[in-house]
Amino acid sequence: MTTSDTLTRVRGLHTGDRGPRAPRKRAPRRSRITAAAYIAPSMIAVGGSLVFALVLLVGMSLRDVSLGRLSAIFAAPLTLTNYVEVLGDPATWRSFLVSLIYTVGSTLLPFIGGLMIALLLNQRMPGQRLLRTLALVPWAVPSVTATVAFVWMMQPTYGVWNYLLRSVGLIDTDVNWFGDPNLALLAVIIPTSWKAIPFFTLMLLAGLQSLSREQYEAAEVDGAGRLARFRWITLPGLAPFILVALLFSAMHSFREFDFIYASTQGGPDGATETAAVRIYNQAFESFDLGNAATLGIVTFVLVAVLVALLFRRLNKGSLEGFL
Amino acid sequence: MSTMTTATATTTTIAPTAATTARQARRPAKRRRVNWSFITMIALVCFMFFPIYWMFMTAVLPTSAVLSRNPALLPFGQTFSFDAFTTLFTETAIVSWLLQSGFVTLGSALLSTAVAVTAAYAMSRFSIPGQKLVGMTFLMGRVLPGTLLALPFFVLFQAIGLLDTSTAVILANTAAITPLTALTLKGYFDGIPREIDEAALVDGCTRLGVLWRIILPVSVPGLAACFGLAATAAWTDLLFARTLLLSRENWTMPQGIASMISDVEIHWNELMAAGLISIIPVMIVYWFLQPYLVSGMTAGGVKG
Amino acid sequence: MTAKKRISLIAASSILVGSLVACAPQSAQPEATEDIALTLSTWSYSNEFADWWDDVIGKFEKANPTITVEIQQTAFADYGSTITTQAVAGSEPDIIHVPTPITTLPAWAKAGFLAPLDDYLKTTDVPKLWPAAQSAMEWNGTSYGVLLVDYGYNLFYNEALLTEAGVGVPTTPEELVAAAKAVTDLPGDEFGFAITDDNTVNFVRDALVFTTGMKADWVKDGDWNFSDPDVVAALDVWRELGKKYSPIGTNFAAKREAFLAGNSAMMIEGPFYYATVQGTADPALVDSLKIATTPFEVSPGDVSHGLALSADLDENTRAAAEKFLDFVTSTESLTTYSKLITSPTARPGTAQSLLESPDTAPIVEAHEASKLIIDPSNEGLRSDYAKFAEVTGAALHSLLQSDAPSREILVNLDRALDDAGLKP
Repeated sequence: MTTSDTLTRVRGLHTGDRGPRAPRKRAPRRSRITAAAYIAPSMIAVGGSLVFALVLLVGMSLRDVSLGRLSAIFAAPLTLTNYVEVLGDPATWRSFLVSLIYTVGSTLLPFIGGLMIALLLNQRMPGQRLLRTLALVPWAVPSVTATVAFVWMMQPTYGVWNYLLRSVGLIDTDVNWFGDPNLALLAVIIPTSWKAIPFFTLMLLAGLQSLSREQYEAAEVDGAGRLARFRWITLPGLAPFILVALLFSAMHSFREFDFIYASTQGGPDGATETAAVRIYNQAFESFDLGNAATLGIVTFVLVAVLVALLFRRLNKGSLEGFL
Repeated sequence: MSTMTTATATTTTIAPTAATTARQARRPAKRRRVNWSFITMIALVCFMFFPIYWMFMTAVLPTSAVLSRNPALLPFGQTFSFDAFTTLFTETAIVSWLLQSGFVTLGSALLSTAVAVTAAYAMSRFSIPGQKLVGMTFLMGRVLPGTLLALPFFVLFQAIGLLDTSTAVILANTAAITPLTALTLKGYFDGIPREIDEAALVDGCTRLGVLWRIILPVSVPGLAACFGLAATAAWTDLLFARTLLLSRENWTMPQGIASMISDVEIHWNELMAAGLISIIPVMIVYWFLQPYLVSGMTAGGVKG
Repeated sequence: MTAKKRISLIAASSILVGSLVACAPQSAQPEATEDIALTLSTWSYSNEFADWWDDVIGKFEKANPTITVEIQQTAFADYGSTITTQAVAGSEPDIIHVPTPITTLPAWAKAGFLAPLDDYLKTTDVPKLWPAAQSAMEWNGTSYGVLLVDYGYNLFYNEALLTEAGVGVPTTPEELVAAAKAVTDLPGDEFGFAITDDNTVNFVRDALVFTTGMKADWVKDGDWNFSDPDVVAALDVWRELGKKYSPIGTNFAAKREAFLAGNSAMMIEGPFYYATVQGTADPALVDSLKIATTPFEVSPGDVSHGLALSADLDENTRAAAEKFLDFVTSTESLTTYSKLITSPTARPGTAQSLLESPDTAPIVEAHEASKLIIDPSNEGLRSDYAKFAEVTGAALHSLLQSDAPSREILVNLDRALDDAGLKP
């Protein structure tokens, strides 16, 4: 068979939905070796570095040394002091709570924005390619620059943000975005969300394109309005995409450090100290690497359990076959 | 050749869908009506672009005009100049930063796409023991905060002797990006019927042959999407670059930009100009990947 | 985790680390004739700073043909974490530039990253000539470096704005407040003053300038003393300036920018910023942007940066690095520094050129009379500085944001510092 023959057949078949999961035959031994060989490079890169990092960090977390050479750290006796300290510190739990709010906020906001843009961009309009390209740009702005730009834009006295709010009469006195303990968390969620919108736009636009037009036509014949069609066709069809996008974006936000650190350093008074920021503060402001490693391990275990539980539930759904 | 044909073919399969959706959107409009979607979209893009616009204003206007209680919202009537852009090229090593970043980005995107392809294919086509472990590892690889990864990566590359080389940054980026790209591609491959593989195998193709000659050509959109994801991540990476690249000659663009923020003074104009310059290459890539990006993500981890 | 798993994990990690340590590049064997390449880390390698390093290194290499010095630059924001990471992995640079050593040096010294330099210092004139601020390079009675620059804070003022408000350059805290009020009361958006108001560990310094300046001691007999009436009075001045006459939420960059753009008439800042003012201010403004000594009885001072050596240098590298220290701290090098950066240095007499102009003379005057705002002998504070800055910073923020009486906030601060287990 020539390649082009196969291509013709593939093209014909590709658009067809194959249903949830094709039954798989248990691979023969030879195939299993092939499969292992195919997976090996990425597993070495991803798994190797992960295991290495974990071993190093677990090792450090089990020593009561705040800072020192690796050789000195690993020569120290094993102890659980760090774990007792970290788990007993209210600041640890506060940072988990802050992380949770921050992650939820900076995942849901861009999700709503991304969904809106994706729905719009899914329609034909002039300059579509340009608009689609532009909608992705915030993603490409280097964090360093985006951070400085937002810190300045949101500067209470001289920032353009408060200027605009003052101009339209929404505020009388300047809002101290990063300085007010009640607002700081919201203030750091905004830029993170801005930068995450394109990711949702891309994922959801992709999802929208995969919905079958027959369903819409049938619904229209039945007299379903726009809202009903969105509720009963678009949303269920998009669900798997939404889940994947939410998950990856949430994991990204959870690890986010650059913006929070540059704008509030975790303050005021811990209001924006997420787990990621606290780990940094412990490691490089308080110079307690043992404590930071412990916090990292505890966080890792918590998230791992959370993700694993989530996936048990989702396993039948969108990510089936991945796990 | 075959890549070209496939690309066109896929675009055309997508096109009717988009056209129909658009027709639906217009259908309620019996008479000529304002395209509200378009107007809303323009408004949203303006809104999303405001921070970038403001970066531009900061780059071309005197700092005092921008950081003010009554800032100029439009550049007109102000003394604006593009000096910051020229200064960057005459007084900093921006060309070198861009080239280094380009090299690292290309390397990371190609390598991570390559390893993701084989992994995704194996995960899509074989049922092997430990598959769950692979999936879990990929997900867990994205949990540890970057600040905790700096030390292990430094130690690792020091041990291998790759410190201060672009190779180290490429490898580190690959490790960080591969989970997402492999997941995206696996979903894409799942959408390609396995009967095709089997037919080709019967015809005497090897597994690698099937992947290379049959699967990859029809997966160009998926590959493009992965490439885009990986390239964006690598282009904006500062963490690995600053941890692993020590000499100034090896600096990437984000490192160069970061170095403009000193403890004594910050050159706002140049800082913002550099940020804008670093957006341009990515925008060009997005523009050219555009036809593939969306359709390529169609199968991103999920079945369409 | 089961015991077995744990043991294997520990075994694995120790093997891993063992091999890593073995793999770490070993320093070259001592061989007298061999060329030596020194690495030097710094965050400041832009504009005048780069000129200075290039000048010093160029001359040093010329005088010592067998030694080369290579600069390893890291962005300021990432400097501390990068050096720490490298040092943990055992491959920090040979010569380490230490920022604000009063608080950064203790952690690195305690961790064993830095070489004790007492024997070297005995061979130099540092013990005899250097100011008391050199003790910031000491930890636990041992010297770990040479201080390059300490300074006295200066009052930066906008002459045109002060004149417009009909006030002179303030020379007392009362005059300072009055002048700030007069400018703020002018029609227009100008503020009288600018403070630092952010969440960094250096935020507290902005307020501590006032306590030192007004002779108020917030440490007494080894205990916290923020509730002392003198301290309360000094911080009240800062509070009034910050709350009523300054822009809000200004981080260090925004504070300086406010002054530079003519939006704030006065600020208290280190002299190193004067060169930036001269170099980057709007031509229409630059002539009215001037400096004076601070309007206090005591001139508040601070340490800027110093050099330290890696603890792991072999004999030859160490000798070469010490030669470089000699060279950097020489009268010639530091005189050049003072000229290029418009800053005093730790070596007396190097800032003579600044005295030649009345514009820059206050830099030298402020430096010569300066008293450190954080006494290096407060070892408890220095070793737990981040915690101290967090607790104290929270109290200072409530001074700026709440209406509670200062005394009440500061009494609570003393208690909060004790509760956090901190001792000066």
